Amino acid sequence: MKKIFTFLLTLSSLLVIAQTTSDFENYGIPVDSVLNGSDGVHNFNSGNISLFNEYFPSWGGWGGWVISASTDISTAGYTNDFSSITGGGVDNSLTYAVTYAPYGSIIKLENDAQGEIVNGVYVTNGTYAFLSMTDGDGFAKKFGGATGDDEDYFLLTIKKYLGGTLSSDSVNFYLADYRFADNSQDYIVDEWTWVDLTSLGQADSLEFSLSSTDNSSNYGMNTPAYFAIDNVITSDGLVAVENVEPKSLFEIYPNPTTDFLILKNLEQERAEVSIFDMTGRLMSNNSLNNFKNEINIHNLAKGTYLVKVQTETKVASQLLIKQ
Amino acid sequence: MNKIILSIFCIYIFPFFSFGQLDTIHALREVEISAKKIRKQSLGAQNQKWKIKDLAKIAAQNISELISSESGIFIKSYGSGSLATSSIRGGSAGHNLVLWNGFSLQSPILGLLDLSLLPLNSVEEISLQKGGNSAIWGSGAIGGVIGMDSQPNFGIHRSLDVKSTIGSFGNYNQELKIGYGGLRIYGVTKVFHQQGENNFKYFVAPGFPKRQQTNAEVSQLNVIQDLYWKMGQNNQVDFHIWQQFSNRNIPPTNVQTKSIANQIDRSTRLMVDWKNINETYVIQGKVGFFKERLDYRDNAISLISLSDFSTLTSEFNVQKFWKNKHKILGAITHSLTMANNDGYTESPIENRSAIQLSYFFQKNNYKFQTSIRQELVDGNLIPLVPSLGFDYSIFSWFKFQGKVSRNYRIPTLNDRFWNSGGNKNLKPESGWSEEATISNPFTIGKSNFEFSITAFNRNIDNWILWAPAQGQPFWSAFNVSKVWSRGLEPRFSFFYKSKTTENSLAIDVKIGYDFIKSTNEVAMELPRREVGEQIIYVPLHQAFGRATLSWKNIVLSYQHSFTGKARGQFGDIDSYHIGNIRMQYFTGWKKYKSTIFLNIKNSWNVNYIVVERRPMPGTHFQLGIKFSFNNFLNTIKT
Repeated sequence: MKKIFTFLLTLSSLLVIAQTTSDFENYGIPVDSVLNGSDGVHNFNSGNISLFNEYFPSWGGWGGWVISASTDISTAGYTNDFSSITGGGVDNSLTYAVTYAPYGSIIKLENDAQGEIVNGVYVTNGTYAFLSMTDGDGFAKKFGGATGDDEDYFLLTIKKYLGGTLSSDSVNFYLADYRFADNSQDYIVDEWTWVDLTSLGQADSLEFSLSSTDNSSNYGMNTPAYFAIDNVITSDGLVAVENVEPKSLFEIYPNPTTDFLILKNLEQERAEVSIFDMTGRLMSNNSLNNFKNEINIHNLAKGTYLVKVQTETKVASQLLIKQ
Repeated sequence: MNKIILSIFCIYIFPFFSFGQLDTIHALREVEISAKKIRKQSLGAQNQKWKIKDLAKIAAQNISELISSESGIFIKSYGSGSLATSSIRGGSAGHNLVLWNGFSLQSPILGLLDLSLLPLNSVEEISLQKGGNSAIWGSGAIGGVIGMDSQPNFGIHRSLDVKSTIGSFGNYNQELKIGYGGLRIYGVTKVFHQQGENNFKYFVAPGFPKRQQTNAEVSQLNVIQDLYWKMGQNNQVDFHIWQQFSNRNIPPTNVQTKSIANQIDRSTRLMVDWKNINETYVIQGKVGFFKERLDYRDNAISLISLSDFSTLTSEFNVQKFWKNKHKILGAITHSLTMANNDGYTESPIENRSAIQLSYFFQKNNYKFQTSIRQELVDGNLIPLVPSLGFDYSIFSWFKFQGKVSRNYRIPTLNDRFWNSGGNKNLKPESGWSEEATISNPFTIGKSNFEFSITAFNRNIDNWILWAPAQGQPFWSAFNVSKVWSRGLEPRFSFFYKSKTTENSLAIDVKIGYDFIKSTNEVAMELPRREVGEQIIYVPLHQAFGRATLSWKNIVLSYQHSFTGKARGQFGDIDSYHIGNIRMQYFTGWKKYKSTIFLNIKNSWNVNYIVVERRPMPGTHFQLGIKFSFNNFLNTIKT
């Protein structure tokens, strides 16, 4: 889980919108493993969201969501129904979530995120669906059809529930789109792609549903109803924090520096450090787990940056020069 | 397989030695034929019958091709060498029954039978009884019953038939039939081998190159042994053994890059049929043991589906006649099925018991038949099904027939036990059907004509569909739908023969049209169904015609079929016309006969599909030669 903050006011006391990233890394599962509910755990929590899972021991099947660290991007078919086509999470992280959503899947917002705006989510195809759309599988069609000209699509539609009511507004994201006149523009998503959900407004939960151009009258949608998510960024509403002198909250050195800096968390409370460039762009975001923390800034270009540290009640910033 | 063939030859081919008295056999066969009619006649309904030895004029290799071209029955074919199932009067594949010597061949797991696995010459007679027939044949006899019957050919003779066919797309067929007859015993061994590449090229779209079918190889071996033995004056015992092995690759759909799927079917069918035949009654006892295995593997998607079943069926019936005016039949049947399927959590055992009574009355030009059947499945009573049929020849040139029946289909084992979604509480599908036919046969000189028209109506309640289960991510089987089927079936036939000798000119024409409206009567969201909507894979209009010209040693035949637009799984399926041509020349010398034939199938090279995404071949050929030897010493004529 990561928290980042957006400044609203620059006063001695200021209001910020705290953001929580649900990245599922908190499960710490080993590579190529999956939590599919077979261990009896049917509710997954990461950051401020919870995901529901069903598991059917009699046939080893699952519904709802799984937490996955699968890297298998080549095995076709339903036995590989818990992989994303990226073979890992966002920014090469290990863990992500996959859902089977034949009739829609729900992400429930918890804690401070409940009733607040959801910033967005990274989305990609599941391996099962991706390979099925690429090659067909005897049940589902190869997108584009026999000629490549079929105007197929695989659409993810996201709606919100607020106060028990499903919104009519929705955000659409094409996991595959073959509707282009020029077939070379047709695509099946194979990378993590950011889907902005702020337009949905405040929500208690999100509903994800899938639709496709490949449907049978007897069995509904033929395209395997799977997709993967990672880094769901929820907002936790407005939080009042006191703007304090940097020296009362943290200490950094060396400054200027080249590849790393040491950050002392003087109050030793739970805190987050964010580094922004001078245009306000977030460059990195880390939890401070120790009194003395080493932060690698090797990847930052030379220049001046703003280091911001925030606890639950205080925030402070200081300039950092990278040489 | 080699061991099985060897053992069949050792057991049945060599010890043919017994001869009997001619007169007794003659009398018994007449009674037997008369007795059979109670069940086979299906009074009031439309029946067709084909003697295999008369089928030289038809370009059909298996039963699905015969039924399709001769009766207008819609055959849902997935492609050359692939699965083929029948739809009769707007039912699905499970609403037809295929009987082998009176016992159902339908898989209790799937509820259907792949007709492409049934070689035409596996039996001596094939029949089609249209309409509901559950009161006689039980579960599944809703749309119609396809009967396959082995028949003896008593008389002292030896016969040998060898047939070899070479066809397009690497198709080869070989058939061997060895008959060995005495007055009391008749044995016949039949071996069929078929293999094919089926790598035909098919049309994709205008401006696109044709695509060649891949992974479509099939091979099939059937070994059948029939043995008929007249024991003493009144008893006859028939033995039938049928071994089948089929190995076929499953080709990709036309929207699939490639396929490596494969299906292997193996079956062993054994039957013993005893009859005690008397002047006024016949007692019959039959036992059949069927064991089948189906292995489906698609390693590309890690799909392995293995299933097998064994069914032991026994039947005891008594038929009693009074001067051929009144006939009654009482029958008790029991079948025990044991199945294994890797989609089940248990190995189900299904017990079916049934009692059936039929009464037949005939007087002058009037016939009447009524039947009733009560079945018990695993202790649960199935609806009592009666039927009533009549046949009234008002004049020699005008006949009126009708039938009312109640019919049912027991849920398949997949419907009941599939994990997950199988529903053990399913009720059987059931409903009433009614039909009436008027026919007008007449003769002008040497020409025979017949016009007929049948109207039918059928309702089926508790129609089983798989649908999303509330709150579950998988689908389940439910008795949710109702289907109403009705239609008209006009027919016309014409037969002309210039002389009775073999060198005559004969013209045989048959034309038929089916209008079948088969509609859903319950609206559903998923699977999507609307009230009044035609059910899928049932064309509203279908027509077929065949004209055969025989002159001296030459037979020329042309078949044409029209299949109207139908709804499919993914949208509408276009209508199509298909023509097949058969040319045949035969020559004989003493006891030897040889026939050479050429079939030109899909002679107009039509691009068509029966099932979406499953391409069908364009024009293709079959060239065959058949050699027959028959040294009949004494033939029994009945």
